[in-house]
Amino acid sequence: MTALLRKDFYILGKYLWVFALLVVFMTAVSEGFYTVFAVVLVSMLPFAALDYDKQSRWDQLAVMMPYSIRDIVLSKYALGWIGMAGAAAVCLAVSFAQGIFGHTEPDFPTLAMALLTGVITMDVTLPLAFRCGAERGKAWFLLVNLMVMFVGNLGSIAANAASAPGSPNLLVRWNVFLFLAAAAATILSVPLSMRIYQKYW
Amino acid sequence: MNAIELSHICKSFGSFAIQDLNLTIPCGTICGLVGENGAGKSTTIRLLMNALSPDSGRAAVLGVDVSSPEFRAVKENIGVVLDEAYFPEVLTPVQVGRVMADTYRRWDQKQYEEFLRRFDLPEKKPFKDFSRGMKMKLAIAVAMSHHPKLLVLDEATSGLDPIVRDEVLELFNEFTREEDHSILLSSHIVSDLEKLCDYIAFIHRGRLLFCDEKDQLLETYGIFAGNAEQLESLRSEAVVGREHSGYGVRALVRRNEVPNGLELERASIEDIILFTVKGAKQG
Repeated sequence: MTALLRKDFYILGKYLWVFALLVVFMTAVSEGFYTVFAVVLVSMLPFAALDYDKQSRWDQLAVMMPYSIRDIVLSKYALGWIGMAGAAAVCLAVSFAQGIFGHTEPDFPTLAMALLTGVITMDVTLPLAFRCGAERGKAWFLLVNLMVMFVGNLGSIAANAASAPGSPNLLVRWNVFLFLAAAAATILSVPLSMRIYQKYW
Repeated sequence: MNAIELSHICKSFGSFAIQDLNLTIPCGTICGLVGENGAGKSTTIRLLMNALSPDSGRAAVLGVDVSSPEFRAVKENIGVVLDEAYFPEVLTPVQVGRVMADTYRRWDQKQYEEFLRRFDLPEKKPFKDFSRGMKMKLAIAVAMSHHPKLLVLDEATSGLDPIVRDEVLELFNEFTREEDHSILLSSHIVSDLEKLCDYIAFIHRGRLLFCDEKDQLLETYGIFAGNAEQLESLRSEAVVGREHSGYGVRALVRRNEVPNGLELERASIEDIILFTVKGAKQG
């Protein structure tokens, strides 16, 4: 799987820089909505990688190399997880930097919510991408974008709620729920993607 | 042990089907798989690499059933070159080497670099800026840098200029000097196959019409050139295929079915293939 991840990072090299700048910008100008949006946006990286694989017909070569279907599928999930973790780290770094100048403090609950939302988004959309292929991926991009907008609004609500007295508990509960949902979604999504890959690719 | 064994493989795609394909390639040999466009060569390669599941039949490579979990380990011993080099276009040969080093346990970086030098490939130029010949050379370098025992080459020499093609064929020849090394090479370029292969397998519309030793084929068949009456006097079993022209008739015949002393021209592999197709159409 290391080989496949390495390949995806080489392919997406320039995109990663653009994403990183976007995350810095979004975190710097706002909190809440944009933090969630920035992190969830990065969960789309596997789509771009799948698109590249299909375009270059790497997928046809990969099935003839000593990669298992588990490696091929899991590498796309891992790409999303690593990307989101990186985006969250950038968000934190920007928040810390802003904190030095007394502007804001890192908002851990919102960041956790963003990560978990990204994981769930990916769990829902990746099996669809494996099923429909890169051709129809754009439609799923649109759907994901709409979901991100919706979740982004939740981020704003969460940020506002977090500032209300006694509300951190609410956000923690919400995050516990999201964590359980993300775990369940991942447990279902990975094997489903593997079955779809085996059948359709 | 056989390098490749396909027994009674059937695979249907609606209008096209691979029908009862039986193909055995012994270890240590080079087999040329020839056939027109859409005959089923690439499908055969995908079936034997388990990239496609057959509707029925069994495929084994290097003694292992391709549908078994053990086949993944066997892929370490197989180098594959498809009709185009399917590497992501933004990668450079250096990056391809790093990816492959994480892919194959026996990846030999020194050998890979040696191939890059031998093929005169720029190490840091993105793959998208390569010519087709350079792309194929990179694919061949990758396929041969992890010490495989079997090379599966799908149109690997097409698109190469004659000088490079000759160099690559020589490389394949060197590869089979090890007695347990084998090659399955599909190609349209019959002259390449004639130069290189021990066995020729001919596939036509999803059916394997023959798979024989090249020398055996050349000994079995001859070209008859004469007039229609002379041809008609031959036994019908002797004639594989014929073509009429304003100058008379040419036919591919089985040497052991024609009278001794009948003068026959030497049949090339290309003749055997072309007349076999004509015979199949006429029959």
